[in-house]
Amino acid sequence: MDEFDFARNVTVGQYVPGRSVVHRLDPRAKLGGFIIVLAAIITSDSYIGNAVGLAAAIGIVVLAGIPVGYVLSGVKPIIPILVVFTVFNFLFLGNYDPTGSAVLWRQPVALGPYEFNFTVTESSMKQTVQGVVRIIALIVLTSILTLTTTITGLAKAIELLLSPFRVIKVPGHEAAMILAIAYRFVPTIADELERLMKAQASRGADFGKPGRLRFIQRAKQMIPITVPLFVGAFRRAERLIMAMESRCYIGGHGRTPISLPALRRMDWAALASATVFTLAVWNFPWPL
Amino acid sequence: MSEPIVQVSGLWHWYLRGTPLQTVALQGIDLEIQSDDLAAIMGHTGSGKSTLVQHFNGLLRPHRGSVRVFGSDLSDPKLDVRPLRRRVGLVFQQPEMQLFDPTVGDDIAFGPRQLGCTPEDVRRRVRTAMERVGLGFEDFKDRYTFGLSGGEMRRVALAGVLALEPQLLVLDEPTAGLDPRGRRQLLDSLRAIHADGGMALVIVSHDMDVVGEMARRVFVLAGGKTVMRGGVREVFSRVEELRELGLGIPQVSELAYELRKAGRDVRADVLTADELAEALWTSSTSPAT
Amino acid sequence: MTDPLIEVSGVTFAYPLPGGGRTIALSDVSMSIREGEFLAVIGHNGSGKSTLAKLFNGLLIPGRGEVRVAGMSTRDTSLHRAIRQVVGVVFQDPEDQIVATLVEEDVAFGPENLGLPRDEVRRRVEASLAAVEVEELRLRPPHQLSGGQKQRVAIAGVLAMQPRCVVLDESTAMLDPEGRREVLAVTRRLHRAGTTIVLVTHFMSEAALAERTVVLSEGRIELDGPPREVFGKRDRLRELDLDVPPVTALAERGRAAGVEIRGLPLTIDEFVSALP
Repeated sequence: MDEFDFARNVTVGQYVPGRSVVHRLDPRAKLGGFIIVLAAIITSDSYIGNAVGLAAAIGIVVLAGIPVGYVLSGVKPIIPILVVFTVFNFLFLGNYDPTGSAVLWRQPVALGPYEFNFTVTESSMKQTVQGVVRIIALIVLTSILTLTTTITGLAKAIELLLSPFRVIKVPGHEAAMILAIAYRFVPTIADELERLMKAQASRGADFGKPGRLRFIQRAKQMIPITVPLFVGAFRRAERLIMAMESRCYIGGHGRTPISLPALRRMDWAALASATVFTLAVWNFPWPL
Repeated sequence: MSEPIVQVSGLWHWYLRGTPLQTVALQGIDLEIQSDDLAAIMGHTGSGKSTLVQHFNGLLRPHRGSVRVFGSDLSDPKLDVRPLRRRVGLVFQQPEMQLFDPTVGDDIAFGPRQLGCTPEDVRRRVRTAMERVGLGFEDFKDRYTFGLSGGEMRRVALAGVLALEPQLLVLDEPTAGLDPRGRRQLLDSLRAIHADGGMALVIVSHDMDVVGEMARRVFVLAGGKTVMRGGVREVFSRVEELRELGLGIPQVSELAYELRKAGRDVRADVLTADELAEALWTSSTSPAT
Repeated sequence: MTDPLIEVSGVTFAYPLPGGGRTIALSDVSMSIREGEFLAVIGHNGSGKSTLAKLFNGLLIPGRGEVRVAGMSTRDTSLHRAIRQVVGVVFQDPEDQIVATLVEEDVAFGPENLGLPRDEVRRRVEASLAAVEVEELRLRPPHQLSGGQKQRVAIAGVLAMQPRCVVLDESTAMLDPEGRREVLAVTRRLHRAGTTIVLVTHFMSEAALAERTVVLSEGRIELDGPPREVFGKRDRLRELDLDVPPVTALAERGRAAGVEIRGLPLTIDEFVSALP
């Protein structure tokens, strides 16, 4: 009924205040832990290893005191993509198996003069399933990171973690600044998008039924939205630059250094646990 | 008395209903708009006035209560709202932000083309709409949209809605951000459009001077409820109530009110400078004459 | 007589147009602003008033002529950092001035850009939040604020630079009446505390609050004087397609009808006491 209500199903990027252990960890520890655990899930080659990784991610959600259902609902918007990914890989990936693993299912298909096979091999099946599990785990982990850490904390963590690389010209401050400004404007631009869609709908614009695959036509239909949104964004950027320059912003050089309190025992403990977990997942001889 | 074109009874609406961030926006609104009305809906930002008018063309559906527009019941989930959008034209705040076509004429033609009008009909509608907002058809139709001034762009956006030939025109803060000259031009255009007939006008605004100048009937919203309604003079004479709501009254009316408080004999329902001048000085004949 | 805080000498400024060519925004404009003044600059959109505001802190540099702030020329870009600590500008759109995700972080943005030590940054943030009365909003994200609150936060961000002059470029144009009241109240408080104020506006009733009114039209200064003097020239203002505060207009009508009205009332209170 409420065709223009967007805010519901986006869990990545929302901060939900709380007092859990996860909330209280230093953002650098969380960012580091996030990368380490993600590495475990992305590189592990076993079904059970992946499942353990996903279970650990969900375990962190529970530890943070956030309803698991809420985090998993953040997966909902990408289910169509996951379905397409699964179907296509399931049907076709087996045809390009370099490992020469056993064929589990083959179905020749003839379409007029063309002949090809739907093939599922052990390896292609594993890759397909793992792909889905990894995407879900990525969403869960990213959600948990952003649900328990303020964007300020994250931006500071990124800037501090990248600052030693300033000598080789890595723009840590600029990256953190871009992240923070982009995040700050998300609600503003979301409001503007909603208002634009309503305004154009009021003029009779029809944005089509969801699920239509005629991309070019769909893109054309979106022009009354995309053009004003971009024009508006550029104008907004111009105004923001004027305001920032008026307050003497010239980039990261010469700014008051940002600081975070020193890492505590619990932060090191969290990093250590993440490392141990990942090493275990890598080295454990999983049966499957 | 003919049937009102908009009939709202006991309307409730929530933002983000069903999520943990749910808040109530409208709490039992009652309102009706007649076919030749010149009405204003007043209230603070956050009083629910924008939410209310978005029901008039089906952008929002009632969560409780009913909204009937041109006889169609908006509570009916099977109702196709698209025909409504050609009868009810809704102009949002700062409408110049919604322009997208690089050519003025084409942007205004968007609505009629979406309606499926013939090219001749589209041209006629664009021409009429442009004339109504004071943009000469030949002068402006081929101009680069984003090169116009802010006031001109706003008139292009308004023309884009007028080209749909709606029977009800709703404008949200039409003069926000305009300088005095732009404001005068816009209000003059709106008055002329209404005088031509065939269109009811509803202005949503927190600018008391605009409401005082334009409206005949006023609804005051606060906290999602209709707290005051009536003729414009009657509502603006209730100064203390409006002040308590954090709203004001037109500058001229406020002057009249302060004069009465200071003991002068001035009528309570002054709206324009002419009226106030008359009230103050026709009784005292000028010694010069 | 001390030197003016801001000195504009023979300034001409033109904007390039998309199709080639230029449009002249300011034409041979000269004026000075003394420390502690409360100045209103009024004019239509297109009169050049916003261009003038941006010339005051070096965001724009004159094509011809010069702008000096506390003796420093805005042509010298190496002086811009110093100039922007003398003159701060608050713009029209409340949304597009706030950079950070929390109010108190945004107010800290300016001092951080100056590389000030942490405790000095903190001190300035506290003082600025208090000056505009937004302390209880310090941990809010900007999109949860009303227009008036956002503008006050923008003002706080400028105050944290400790400027001697604050320019408000149509800062109330996009606000509802309550927001406008809040911002004007803060502006008056700042002026009473000694800050030089330049209020660029198209609202005549706002200009009536200032000590000095400069009227711009088509890139030139047409009138310059105390509001009572400028608004007394109604015919001239009409020629420029401007007007006087409604109260003043009414007083004129009374006078024309032979009523004895003392002085030139600019506000409602003045009108009430000016009637015989």
